[in-house]
Amino acid sequence: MSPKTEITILILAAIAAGIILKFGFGGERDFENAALGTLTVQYQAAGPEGVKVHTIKQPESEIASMLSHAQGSDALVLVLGNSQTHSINQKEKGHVVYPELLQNRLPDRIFLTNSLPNANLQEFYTILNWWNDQLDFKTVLIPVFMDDLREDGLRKDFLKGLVRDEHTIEPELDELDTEWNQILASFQNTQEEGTVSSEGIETPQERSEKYITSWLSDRSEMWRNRPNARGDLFMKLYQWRNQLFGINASTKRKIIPARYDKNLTALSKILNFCQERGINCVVYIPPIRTDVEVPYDLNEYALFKEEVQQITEMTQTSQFHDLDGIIPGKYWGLKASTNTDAEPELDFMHFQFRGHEILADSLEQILRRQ
Amino acid sequence: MIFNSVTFLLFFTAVTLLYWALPTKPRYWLLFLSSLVFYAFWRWEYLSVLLLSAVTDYFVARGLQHIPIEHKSKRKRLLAVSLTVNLGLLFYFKYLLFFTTNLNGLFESLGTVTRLPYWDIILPFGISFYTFETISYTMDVYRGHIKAEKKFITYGLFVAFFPKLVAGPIQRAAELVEQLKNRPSFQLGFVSEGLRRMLYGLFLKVVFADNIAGFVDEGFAINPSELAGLDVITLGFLFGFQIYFDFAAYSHIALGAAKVLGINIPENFNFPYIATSMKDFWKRWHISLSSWIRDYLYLPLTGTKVLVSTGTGGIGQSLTNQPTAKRKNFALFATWAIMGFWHGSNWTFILWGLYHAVFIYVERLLTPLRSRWPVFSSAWICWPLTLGIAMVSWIPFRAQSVGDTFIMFGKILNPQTLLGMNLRENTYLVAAFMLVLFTGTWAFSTYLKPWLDRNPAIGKPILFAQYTVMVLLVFVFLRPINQFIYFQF
Repeated sequence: MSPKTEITILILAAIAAGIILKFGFGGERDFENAALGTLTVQYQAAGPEGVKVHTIKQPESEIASMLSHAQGSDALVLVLGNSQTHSINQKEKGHVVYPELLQNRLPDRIFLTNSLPNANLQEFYTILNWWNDQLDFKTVLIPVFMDDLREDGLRKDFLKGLVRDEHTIEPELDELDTEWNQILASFQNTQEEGTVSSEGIETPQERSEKYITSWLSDRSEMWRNRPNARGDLFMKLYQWRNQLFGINASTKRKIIPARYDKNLTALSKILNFCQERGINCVVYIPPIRTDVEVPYDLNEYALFKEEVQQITEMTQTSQFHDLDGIIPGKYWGLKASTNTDAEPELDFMHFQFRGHEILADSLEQILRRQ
Repeated sequence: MIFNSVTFLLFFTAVTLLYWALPTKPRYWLLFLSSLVFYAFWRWEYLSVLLLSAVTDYFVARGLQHIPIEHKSKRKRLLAVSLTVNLGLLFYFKYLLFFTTNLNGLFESLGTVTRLPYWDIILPFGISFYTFETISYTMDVYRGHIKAEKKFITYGLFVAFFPKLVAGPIQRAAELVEQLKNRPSFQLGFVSEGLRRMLYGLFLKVVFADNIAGFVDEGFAINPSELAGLDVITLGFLFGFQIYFDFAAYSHIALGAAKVLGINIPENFNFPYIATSMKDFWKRWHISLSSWIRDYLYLPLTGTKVLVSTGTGGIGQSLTNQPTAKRKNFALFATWAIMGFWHGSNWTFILWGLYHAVFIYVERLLTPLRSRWPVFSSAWICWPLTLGIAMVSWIPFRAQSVGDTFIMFGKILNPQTLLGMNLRENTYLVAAFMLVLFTGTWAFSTYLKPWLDRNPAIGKPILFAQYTVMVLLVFVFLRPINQFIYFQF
C-alpha cells in the first residue's frame, strides 16, 4: 500500500472516529450506578424543611448542611448504607427512603445518612472514623450486605470529605489501619486528568498539560465528553461480558475469601471502635428478595449470617438483627437489563417505597427498644 | 515530556514541521535543542546530569582516538574515567539509597549505633538508558569499532535524541550517527510508517496498559498470604501483559517518532510471549538491552572478543572462543544479577535476574535433548511452558519485597494452596482476554496481514476499520495519568 493511500485512510479514520464520538456516545449512564438500571430512582433523605441530611459523595455543601443541622443534638444517629438506602424502585411522587421515614417517626433524634453504591465495610469503617471526628453519635446503623463483601479498598469519589480533611485513622492499631491510611494518603496525590506524577512538584509538563486540556475542555464538547465516553465504553463491555457469560441479576455470586475476611475484620473494628466510644451499634442483615431463590450459594449465605451475628455479639454495645426476609416479593421490582438483552431482570437489592416503610418499621422498633 | 500527553503531540507536530521545513544543516540544532526541551519538561535542572555524562564521554572518546592502540594502559585509564563518571552517576542517583538502607540494616543487626544518613535523591528520567549509550559509545571507540565523533552536536544528538532518550531503545552510536550525518530528504513513507507506529504505541499504552494497571495494582495490594497459586499466576500474567503493552508502546512511539523524522531505530520487541524458550524470549524482549548486555557484559565476562557492535539480535550470540563451562556459568549468573539490578535498586530485581539465569542455565543443560524432540513439541509444549515461566518471572519484578515474592512462589509450588480464587472475577477474565488478544494479534500479523496486503480490496476497508477504532479509543483514553513503567528504571 502506498504511503499516500495509508495516510488518506488514516485521515478518513480520524474523521469517522470523530463522527462516532459525536453521535455514538451520549455518556448518559453512570457506571458506578449501573446496577440500578432505569426502573430505580436515586433519592436522598431530607430533613425538616428540606434540609440536607443525606450524603453520597460527601460534597462540601451537603456536609456543611448536615453538620449545622446536627449541632447541639445529643441523640444523633448515623445511618450507613449502600444504594439500597438511596434508591426507590418504581418511585412515585411523595415516596421517600427509610432514613427520612425514621426521622419523621422519631423526631427526638437526628438522623444523618451516608450511603454509597456497593459500599464495603472497609469504607464504612473509614467513614465512621471520620464522622466521629465531626460529631458525637449515639447510635450507628450498619447493614451488612453479603454482596458488598466482594468489594475491597476505598474509593476516592465517595470519600470527598475525608480527602478534603486529609483524614487519617488514628491510632494505627494494625496493618489494615496502615493500609487504609496509605490509600487515604494516596488520594491526596492522585493525579487528575492532565497531570503526571512527579514527587509532588508541578513540572513544566504538568503545567502545560493542565493548560492545554483545560483550553480544549473550554472549547470542544467532544473533548469535554471524553470521561462520559469512557463510561459508556465500560458499560458496553460490562453488558457484553454479562451477555457472553450469561450473567444477570439472578446469577449466584460466590464469596471472594480474602475480601470477605478483610471486610469482616473491618466489621470487628467498627464494633470495637463503637464500644470504646460508647456508641450503640445496630448491625443488621438487610432485606433481600426471598420469594425467589437468592443470588447466593445458600450455604455460604447461611454461614455469612452466622458469622456476622457471632462477630456482633462479641461486643456489648452492639446488637444483631436479621431483616433479610421482611419485605414481601410484591414490594420489590425489576431493573433494566444488565446485558445486551432488552429483558428486565429481577432486582434483589432495591425495593419500592412500601419496602422502605417496612424496613423503617423494623428499625424504628429496634431503636425504640434501646 | 511523556509520550501519552497532548503536550507531546503538539511538541512533536511543531518539531516535525520545522524539521522538514528547514535546510538540512540546521536540523541538527533543531533536534538537539528540541531534545533538551523534551527532557527539561520533566525537570530542567537534571539536564546537567545528562550533559555531564555526554560531555565526559565525548572528551574521553576524543582522547582515545588520539592515543595509539599500543598504549594500552593509557587507554584503559581513559576508559576508566568514562566508566567511573557514568557508573558513579548511576550509583549516586539510583543505588545509593539501596546501599544505605542495606548497610544500616546490617549495622542494626550487628547491634552497632552507626547509621549512614539518608539523602533525598530523585532518580533522573532515563539515566539508566543514556549512561548505557554513552558507555557503549566509548567502549566502541576503545575497541576500535567506530571512530570518535568530532562534532559535539552530532554526538550530543546521539545521546539526547528525544524519541529514545528516556526509555530506549538503547542505540549504538554506529547505528544512529551515520543516519544523522546523512540526513535523508523528505519521503511520505516516513510519515505514514511513523504515524502508524505512533498510533499503535498510543493505543497499547492508553487503552491496554493503563486499564490493566488497575487490576494489577489491586491484586498486588492484597496481602500475599491471602492469595492462592492461581491468583499469583493470574497476577503474573496480567502484569506481564501490562509491562509488555506499556514498554512496547513506548518503543512503538519512539520508533514512529524517529521514523517521521527519517531516522531508523532498531526494533525492541518481537512478540516476546510467542517465544519457545527463555533464550528465545530474550531475543524478542527489550532486544536493545539484551544486545547491550551481551556485548558489554556477558561476552567480556566469558573472555570472548566482541567483533561488531549492534543493538539487534538480543542474547544468544555464538561464542567465538570456547570458555570453560565454569566461566560461562559464572558469566551467565553474574550478567543476569546485574541485568536485574539495572532494572531497579531492590533485591527483588536481582531475584528476577537470577530467576532468568536459572532457566537459561537449565535450557543449556537440556539443549542436547531438545534437538531430539519431535517438531510439534516446540509449539505445543515449549511455548506454553516458556510463557508460564516468563509470566511468573514478573512476580518478583512487581512484588513489594523478596519476602512477598517467596510467599507468592510458595503458593504456586504448594499443591494445597494452588487452587482458589481471591481476586475479582474480572481479573481472571481480563488476563484470559489479553492472552487470546496477544496470540490472536500475532496470528493475524503473521498469517492474515500478508494476505490482506496482497488483496487491497479487502485489506483497505479492514485497515480503515482498524484505524477508526484505534483513533477513537486513543482520543477517549489519552490521559497522562500513568507514566511508562520503564521511566522508573
